[in-house]
Amino acid sequence: MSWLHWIVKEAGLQIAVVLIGGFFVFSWWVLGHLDHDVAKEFSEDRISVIVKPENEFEFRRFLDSRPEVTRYEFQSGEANKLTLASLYPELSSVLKPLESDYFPISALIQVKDSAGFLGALQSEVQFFQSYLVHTPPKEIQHFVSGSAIVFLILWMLILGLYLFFQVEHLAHRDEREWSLLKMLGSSAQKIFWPACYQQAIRMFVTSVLAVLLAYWGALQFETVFQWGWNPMAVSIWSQFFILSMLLTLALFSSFFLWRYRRVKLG
Amino acid sequence: MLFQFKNVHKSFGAQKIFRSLNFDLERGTFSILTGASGSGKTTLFKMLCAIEAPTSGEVIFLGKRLVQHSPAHLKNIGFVFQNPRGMLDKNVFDNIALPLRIDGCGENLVRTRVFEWLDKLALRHRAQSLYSELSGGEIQKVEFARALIRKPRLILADEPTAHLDPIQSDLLLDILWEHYKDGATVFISTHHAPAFHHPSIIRYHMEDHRLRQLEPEEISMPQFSGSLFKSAMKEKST
Repeated sequence: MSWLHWIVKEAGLQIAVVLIGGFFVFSWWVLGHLDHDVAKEFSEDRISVIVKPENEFEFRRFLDSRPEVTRYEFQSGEANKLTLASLYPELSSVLKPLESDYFPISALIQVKDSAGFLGALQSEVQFFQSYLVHTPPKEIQHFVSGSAIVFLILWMLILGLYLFFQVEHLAHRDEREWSLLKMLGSSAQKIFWPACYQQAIRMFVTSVLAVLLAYWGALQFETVFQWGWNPMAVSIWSQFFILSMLLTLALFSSFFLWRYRRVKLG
Repeated sequence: MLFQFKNVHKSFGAQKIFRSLNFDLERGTFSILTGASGSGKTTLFKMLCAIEAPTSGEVIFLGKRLVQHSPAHLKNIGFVFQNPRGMLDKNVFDNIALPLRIDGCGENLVRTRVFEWLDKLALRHRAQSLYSELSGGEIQKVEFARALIRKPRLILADEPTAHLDPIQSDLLLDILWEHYKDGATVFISTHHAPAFHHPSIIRYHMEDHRLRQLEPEEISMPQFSGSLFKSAMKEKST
């Protein structure tokens, strides 16, 4: 069972760095999606309006006159029939023979200031039958960004702990040599760089494993939630690598210098 | 002034080692500190080397604490400790060569200087032996060579001859004397009072945790065993 002891003792924290790092990259990816796709789409309020067919032209003119409107799109009765049929395939045989007049004309309007637009819309009740306001999924966004921050903090903490114990382990193992070199007037860099390279390689491998874990998680997520997911962008994992390496260098050098100062001469 | 102990107090728990110790070590002197075991010699030596910090008071080296000096400054000090400090997994050659390699000396110069020292200390046959395989006396000599190979301006040696026979002890003391003659400051702490004296040597004695400088009339040891000491004696008598 010595291998199990070794895993618990030596690799435990490193596994934690991989897991938490993986979660962090994964939540970063989801957050990126919310920011770029979902939230961007909903960054401005969207309002669906059922338009009276006879007032379509006047309603278009009304929309063109409103400064709050950034974009709008009309969907004919026929288009709505086909959308409905594609959403409910089991009903398509019933829906398709029906005349398009049975289906309403709708408009999807994107507005900067929904309150102002809705106020104006209420005064033009002759143009429409009903409307629905789509609000952005702020709660999901808050949850995911919160998760990303929590995983980032956890990952930094675990990485810090891991590097701290690594420095302590090195100091315990090599204190005699450090002390001798210090006594002989060697600069701390002579010891620091070889030790730092080792940790940087370890962290590189750890970061690769974390990214692979996140990538695997993203693939699973895509299969469960069949949304319009983009594959994990190069920018996400490359930024994670750079962050990981810079943080390793900063934390390791701080811990090392702190520990090296405590090594006595000779 | 090289070293200054200003009103130094040192205690380990309830045990008081020094009370109001004031002591100056002048540049270009050869000083020997003697005293019985447990008298506080090693503690004083460790405070000189900044291994032990005083409980109160200050130990000043060239205007500031030793640990505040840059690593480059420490290159001018040769430390010889009572206990071996070498790298166990390295051979004798590499252990002695370490200071020169830290200084970035070329391998040719390193070889020349290390073999010079190996010959001087009769250790050439042990050049490739691992440090961990050496006898106590051989380790002492390697420690000595490593401390002095840079020709430091200050040599601090704690019991440098503890594990050596009288002939080997004289050899090392001769080498220290040679360095002193070349302008180095030498401070030796030793359990056994050396069987020689020279007017240039400043003798300190530690007794009951009190340090005092011995007066010339208190030093009654006309015997000189090391060759340099002998010649120094001859010089004086003529």
